[in-house]
Amino acid sequence: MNIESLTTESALFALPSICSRVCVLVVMVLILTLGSFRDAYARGDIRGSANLSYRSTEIKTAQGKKSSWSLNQLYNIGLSKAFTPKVNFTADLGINISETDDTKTTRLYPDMRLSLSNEYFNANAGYRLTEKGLDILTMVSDEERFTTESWNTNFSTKSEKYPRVRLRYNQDKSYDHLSVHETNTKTDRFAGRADYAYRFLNLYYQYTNKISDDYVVDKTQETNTHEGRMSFNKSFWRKKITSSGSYSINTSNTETTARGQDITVSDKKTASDGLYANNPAAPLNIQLDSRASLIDGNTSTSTGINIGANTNQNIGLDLTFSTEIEKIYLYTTTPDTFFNKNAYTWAVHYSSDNQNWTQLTPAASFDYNTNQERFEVSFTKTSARYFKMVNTATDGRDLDVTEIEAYGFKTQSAYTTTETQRTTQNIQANLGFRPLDWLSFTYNFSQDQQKTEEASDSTKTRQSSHNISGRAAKGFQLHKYLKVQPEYHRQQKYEYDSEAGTKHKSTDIYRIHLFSSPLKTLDTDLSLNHRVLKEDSETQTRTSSALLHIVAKLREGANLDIDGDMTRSENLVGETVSTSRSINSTLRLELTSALTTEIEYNINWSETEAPTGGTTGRRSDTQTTIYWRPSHELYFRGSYRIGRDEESGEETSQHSYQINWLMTKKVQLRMDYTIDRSGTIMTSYSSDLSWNLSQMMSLRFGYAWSRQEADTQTQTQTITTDFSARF
Amino acid sequence: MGFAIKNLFRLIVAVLLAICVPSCVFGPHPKHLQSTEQGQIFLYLSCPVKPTFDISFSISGMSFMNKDGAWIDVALERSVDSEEVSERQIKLSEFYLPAGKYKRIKWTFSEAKVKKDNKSFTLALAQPRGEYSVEFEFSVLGRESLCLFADWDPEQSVFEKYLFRPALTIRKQGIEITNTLIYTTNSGSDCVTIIDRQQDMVVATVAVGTAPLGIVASTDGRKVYVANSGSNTISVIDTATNRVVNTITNFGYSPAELALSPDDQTLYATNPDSDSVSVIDTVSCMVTDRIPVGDHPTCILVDQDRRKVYVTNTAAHTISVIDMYTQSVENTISVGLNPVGMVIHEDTLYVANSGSDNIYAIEIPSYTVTKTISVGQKPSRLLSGLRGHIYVSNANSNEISFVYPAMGLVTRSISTGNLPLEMAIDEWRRKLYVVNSMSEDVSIIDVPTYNIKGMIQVGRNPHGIVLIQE
Repeated sequence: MNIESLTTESALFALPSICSRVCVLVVMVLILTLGSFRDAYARGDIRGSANLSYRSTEIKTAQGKKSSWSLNQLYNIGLSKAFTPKVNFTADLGINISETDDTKTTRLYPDMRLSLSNEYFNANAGYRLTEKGLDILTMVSDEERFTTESWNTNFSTKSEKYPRVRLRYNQDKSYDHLSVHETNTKTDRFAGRADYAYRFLNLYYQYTNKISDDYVVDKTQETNTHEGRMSFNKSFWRKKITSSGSYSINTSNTETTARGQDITVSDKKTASDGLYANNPAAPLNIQLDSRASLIDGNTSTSTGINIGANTNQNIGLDLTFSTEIEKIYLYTTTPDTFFNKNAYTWAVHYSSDNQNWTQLTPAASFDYNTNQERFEVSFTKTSARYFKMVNTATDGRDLDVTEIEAYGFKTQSAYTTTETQRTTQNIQANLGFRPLDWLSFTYNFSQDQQKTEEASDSTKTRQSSHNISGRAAKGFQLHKYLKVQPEYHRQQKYEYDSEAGTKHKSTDIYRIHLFSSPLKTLDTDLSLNHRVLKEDSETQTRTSSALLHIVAKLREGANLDIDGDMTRSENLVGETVSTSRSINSTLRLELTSALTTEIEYNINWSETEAPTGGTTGRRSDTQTTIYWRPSHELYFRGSYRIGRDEESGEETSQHSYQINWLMTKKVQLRMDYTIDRSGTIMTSYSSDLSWNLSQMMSLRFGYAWSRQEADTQTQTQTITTDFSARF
Repeated sequence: MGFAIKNLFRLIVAVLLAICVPSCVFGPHPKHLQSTEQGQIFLYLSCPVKPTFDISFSISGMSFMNKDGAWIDVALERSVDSEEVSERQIKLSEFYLPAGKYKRIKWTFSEAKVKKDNKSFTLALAQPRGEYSVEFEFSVLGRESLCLFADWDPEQSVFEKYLFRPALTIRKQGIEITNTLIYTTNSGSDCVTIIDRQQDMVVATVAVGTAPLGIVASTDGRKVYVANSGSNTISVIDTATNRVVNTITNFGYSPAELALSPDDQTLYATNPDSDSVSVIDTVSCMVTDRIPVGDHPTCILVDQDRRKVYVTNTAAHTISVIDMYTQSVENTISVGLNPVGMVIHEDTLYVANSGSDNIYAIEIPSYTVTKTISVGQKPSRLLSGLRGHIYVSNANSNEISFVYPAMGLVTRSISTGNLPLEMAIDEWRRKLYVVNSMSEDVSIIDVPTYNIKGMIQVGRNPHGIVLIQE
């Protein structure tokens, strides 16, 4: 059955291939057999759910009012049946109906899977059909329908001791139901892999084969991929030395066959007999005699028919059945030096009985092919069993016929095939050495190599990098209230790119970290950092920063923390300097066990200097938040934030209030109210009431209202209702 | 003779098939599975008020009386100290009970002691056999999970200075204020633990599919999606009722981690066993596409600004960049060994190379590595934190590194539980929650002071964590 035939019948019940039918049959037989065979074992489990969601929106603007609605229905029923403790069958049916003001979209899918799981392996096979636009109750037009089908089978072994094997096959089909398809694709994938872990070494190999068919554009792509990998991870000397590495190679071959422009090719017709008659007086009413040597395939031996010295030689062939012919080739012996093809005239006749002939043309157009040594006589495409040629004029020089052939022509689709071979290799190696807690060294190497061959083109690229880094960070107690930790970190990176060349980059990071706890309730730390990035010994960027962190417990339930950050970054290549400073502070007051307030103040400055000019910015934000939870059933959070751009004087603010209330053991109400002033004024309110009807059912009502005040006012109202049920 | 050998060979094959096929298909079940006849119970104990003296006791068993009056015993052996549970919660046990109604709970105590003024006294136990029962009615539903909370008052647990009779108030989970909740997947318990982050206590559990891993919440906080790697499904939890309202079948592919588009319309799930990413329409709850990526995809991140999805192919040491418009891989980036967690911070993609013990900073959209930051051992997940920091969970060194990306430096490291994985930040209360997979708890880090504020015990092998944004 081809896919086109599915347009006339429901794809739900007509699977598109014999293979699919066989698989369904096998699954059905398995279900029935196992179900009846081990009925005493069987455990069944049916579950289902229904979700309905309605949304109505109204938008009011100065231009008018616009309303819209949507209803989304979602039904799902699932069956799980254990035929034996190791064989399980699951089936799901999902239906989705999505409606809006002017559209209705339906989707449904049946999905089934048979699984076998024991202590040695897992195996399963499944099928899913997804139909879009096919209503379960009514048929819709083919234009709205779209079908996707998927098959997949998996097999994997479980053993940890032996190499694990995993086999996977899946097939995906997508097609519409139009009389001329806009979409009609099929993809088959097979993957087989084996992996094995031996102590710290992992070995892996995978072969994949993917065939994609696009029937609309008549294109097929087949990719075969081999992937191998070897990796290890090992640490020595109580994890002071760590090592890891990986080598992977991936070879893929992609062959794409696509349909090009149609071409016309000659098609030699098989003759059952050669025919000949010498110099007939009446060429339209004569029976030609058999001359088998004319069609024996020997184009070098004379048949004894001299068409140079004699005119009106009737040379023909019998095609057994009426056949369309538009060209006849008449092979000859080698002409002499003075051969004159233009002196010839060829008349062409056809007949259905080798007796009564009809003249097709008294002088057909022809040429003489000196390489092939043949007359090539063309005429209007004609269908008949018998054809003959008569030379009504010649150059008078001896020339014998050796063979006769009749040709028709046919149009053939032309296919272009391209082949691409790609090989990628990746090597990675990591080595870490940490002789002391405060001293560590690492070395990382990575290399990517790619080779692509397509037609006559071949490209090869390679990137590699060596990264060596060392880090020393040791803490010293300078004073009972002061601890210092200097740190130095250096990274050297050697990069090679077959297109960009070699680069040497180095990064030096210097850091002094000071910790101080002068009081039990006060912790401070200051970190001074300097980072220099060099490329080929030339400094590219220099970054310096100071980070300050203070945490103070002012009293029981009152905590203050302050973060200060000052960063200056010089880009010596772009000749730009940017400076940023920020202070972020938070005071958290736990006023009672139920009431907490938080006051946050942030300010930041930024400056950029560049040859083309500079920019500055300063912005501050203050926020106050209150959390109140007087009981398990009630929660309130209110916050007010004000932000100010100190350069432009522009202010933004936001009030935000939120209440959650467990009204009963089954009902919860949430309300949010926000006013946001940032250029425009945006006021929004929303409430959400959820009602837990029973263990199996719940209802949810939502209302949202918002108003945006800019040059014009836009008001939006949304009402939502959600219902969920399950068993 | 040849005929006999042929028949003998056929007989041997038939016998082998007759032996092998039934042993593969039938036989004992390889693993206990939760069935429709059983429900999962989590039992937590807490002491809401700090006692003035210390009491410790040992529980040797527990029983539940069903509506027919039959006792169902549960194996439980545990010693509890009032100091241990003072103003905090501990998980006593997790077990299964047959579905049905229950009306009484019985505790069996083997020992009780009181400590006062550095002296320890043994208390007498209730008779017979130290059994103590309380009336409490509750229902267990098949395939569902239920939390029971025992609030213990030590001050009221000693009678006449010699008899131990624990003052226990039992309550069951109910609906909770949504906005302060955290959801943690327990891959070993096939459920999700729900935590109130205002109180930092477990308030409920929800049964989902088998071996749940990744978890993600919608931006409006109404729904939570859970990837069930064992049952090849994605559970949809309604946060108002904390019930699974729908289950999306992932067509035989085992999902690991999830990412949601900011408009909540498209859900992406990595399928490590089939090297692909499932694209799911959240309105119709159907898989609409499957995108082949590299070997063993694990973590996934949506970059809404650039309409890209990044996927770490952990075994292939690469990142696949998926274009959200065409839903196809448009680029593959080579990174360090075994990349896992990712985060975007100031136009830079940071990726944790768990096999190389470092983080790559990758500039977008040129996808060139601009910085390599050394962190702890086996960095697994990244999180964009407060005040310009990135938090890194180092699974092997059991610590969280605080990275200051502007300088490429680790500014602090904090020890956590065993095998820290996913993290979530409560920006309002400035608390960082870290899932410790091996120690089966969640660490709470007070970010301003870099101190561990507490631990919350959850289910077995916790993996993912997500919080509902206020």
